Amino acid sequence: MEVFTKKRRDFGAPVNFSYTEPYLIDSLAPNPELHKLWVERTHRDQQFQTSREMSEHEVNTDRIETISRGIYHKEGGWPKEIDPTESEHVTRYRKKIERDRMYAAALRTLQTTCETIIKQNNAVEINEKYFDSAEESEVQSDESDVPTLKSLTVLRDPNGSPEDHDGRWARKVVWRHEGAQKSRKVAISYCSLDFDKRLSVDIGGYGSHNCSSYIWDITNPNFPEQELSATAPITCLEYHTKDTNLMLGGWYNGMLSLWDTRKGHRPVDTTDIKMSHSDAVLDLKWIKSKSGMECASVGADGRVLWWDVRKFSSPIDTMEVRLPAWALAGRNRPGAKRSSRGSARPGARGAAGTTAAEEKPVAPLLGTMCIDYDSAAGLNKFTIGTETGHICLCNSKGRTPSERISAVFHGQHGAISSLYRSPFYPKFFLTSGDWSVRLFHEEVGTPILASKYAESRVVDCNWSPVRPGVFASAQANGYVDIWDLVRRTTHSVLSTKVSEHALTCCSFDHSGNLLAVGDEKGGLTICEVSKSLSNIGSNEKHAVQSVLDREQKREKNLESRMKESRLGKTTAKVEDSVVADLAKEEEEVERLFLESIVGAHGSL
Amino acid sequence: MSQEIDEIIKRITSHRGVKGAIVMNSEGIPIRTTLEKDLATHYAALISHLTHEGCKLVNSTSGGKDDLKFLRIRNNKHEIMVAPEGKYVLVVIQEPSVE
Repeated sequence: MEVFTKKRRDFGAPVNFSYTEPYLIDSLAPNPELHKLWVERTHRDQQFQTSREMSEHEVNTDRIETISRGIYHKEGGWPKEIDPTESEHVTRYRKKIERDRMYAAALRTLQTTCETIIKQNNAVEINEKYFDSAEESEVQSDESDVPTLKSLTVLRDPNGSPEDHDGRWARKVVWRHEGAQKSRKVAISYCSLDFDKRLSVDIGGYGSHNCSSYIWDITNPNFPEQELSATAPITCLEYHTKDTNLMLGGWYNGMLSLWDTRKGHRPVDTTDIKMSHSDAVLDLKWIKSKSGMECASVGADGRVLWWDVRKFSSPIDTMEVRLPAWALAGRNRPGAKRSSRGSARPGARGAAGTTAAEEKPVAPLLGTMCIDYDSAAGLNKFTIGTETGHICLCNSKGRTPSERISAVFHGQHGAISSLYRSPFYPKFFLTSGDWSVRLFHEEVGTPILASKYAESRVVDCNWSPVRPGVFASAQANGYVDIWDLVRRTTHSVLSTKVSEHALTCCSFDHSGNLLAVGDEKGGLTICEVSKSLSNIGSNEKHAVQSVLDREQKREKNLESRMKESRLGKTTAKVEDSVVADLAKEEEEVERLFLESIVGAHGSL
Repeated sequence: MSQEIDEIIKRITSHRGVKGAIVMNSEGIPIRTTLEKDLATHYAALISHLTHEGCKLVNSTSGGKDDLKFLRIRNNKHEIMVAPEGKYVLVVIQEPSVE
């Protein structure tokens, strides 16, 4: 190695080159070992493409907001000195014009041109519609069997920033009932249930947070029709079943309120916070009663409260949702007294002599996610879905809490996000939760139909109000599935991506033609379902009933079979002896057979 | 003279399917009409706008050498015929599908 050194004081000094003899610095001798390692590369890989390169672009037009405004119309065009309201002035002015010679001349020429065209119109129908029949057949082919979903409009949370569509969750959507017509009004409760946002809300109060929800007219997606204001985010809304001016809402802080849409955006009445739920209200329903003014609400605090909306100061009745002892012991119903040795928990085994109800276990309160009430199923019957995935069939007439819960099913693996009884068959109900949708019958503890696990969480489901076998389910990956039990029970008949964001809710309107789907960013997509999904076929009600009955029977049979196999070893012993007998018989037959063959051989 | 005008209007309205006729000036004031007063005012007000716009279109595209002669507005039920001539406009409303 050559090191070149130079002293600091010589820096910048003029250079002085001089001639020297060449000298060898280093010499590397060739290494024959290395030469042996030399390998010639025979081929090499290279990639190239012969097809044309493509790219995909998506373009969407800008969202244009339009407003309609009223204008005051008044008759105009009159000269300044004439008052059009004075009939004398007007007739005088008209007479003056009619006396004009130009006027008569103009009219004379116009008469001929107009007459020509009038006659022409009367002679030939130039705009006649040909091929009427052809068009009709086209319409018929449109109504063919392929189910489709067409999105009509998107309603966005007005409080979100319009650029990134970052609104609050559209947590629940309810359609206004307008008889048999297509509903036009839809109410959406906007409420973020994100954990992060929840924290900031708790620290800063709701001050910085807009708590209003809105009622929209779906023909005007630019501005909501009416505001429903509240002092806490509104988690759920429900139209009164008869009077669509009344709107019931549950709040994030556990309170309930009633709005009358005729009386402005402020609630008419709210419940006392001390008597309300101690956590967010998650679902509520109107109840059929004499006054028609009663409702029930469930909350994350694990209580069901019954209210009279005319007297909001305190609830009529309360119920705590705890699993009864028999449910903790793994049974569906209280009735059977036989202590099930196999399935009982270790704790329950100690109290073999006592009935389960006397144990007084301290079961935890279960946060309730949803409640369903259908007067057709029973005036006092409620169905509750909990955060733990249990479905409780309740009876509001029971005196003790354990009497009130008449059956507990294990519904889903996770929280039950929604639960609806079928509008046609009140004994059947649909639940959504974890990654599946399941159909239950009141008397069978296991689902009679269950969808396959989807790729994403199922956040909501809803029955079609017109087709008995049709329901929709919304998933967290933005897809909506539509099921038709008449066609298929294993797969959905239609699966469409409705939004880029996770969905939160879906709901059919009362005519069954429109489906509203809400997403996490405050968007609500209104979709129109194809006619094949909204027109009831002949005899369809019966067909679906038979499908459901068949599945229910099968599940019941399976259940009883399970019970039998669990019942005892005595039957198993009997079976053993039967099997032994059979084996003996078989041997005997075989022996006889062989003998006969051998005999035949001998004779040959 | 007014007799002659009566005659003209009568003749036009006697044709099959004609619902009514309005004679109006270019300001949109109905001078003579066979329709109800409110309806005639309504038609006149709206049509005067349309004819004005139509005249502007024809005038500007032809460099001021041409005039709007006739405007036919066909809708599902009616045909509205608008014939401007100088300061006056004749409007005829016809229902052509009437047998």
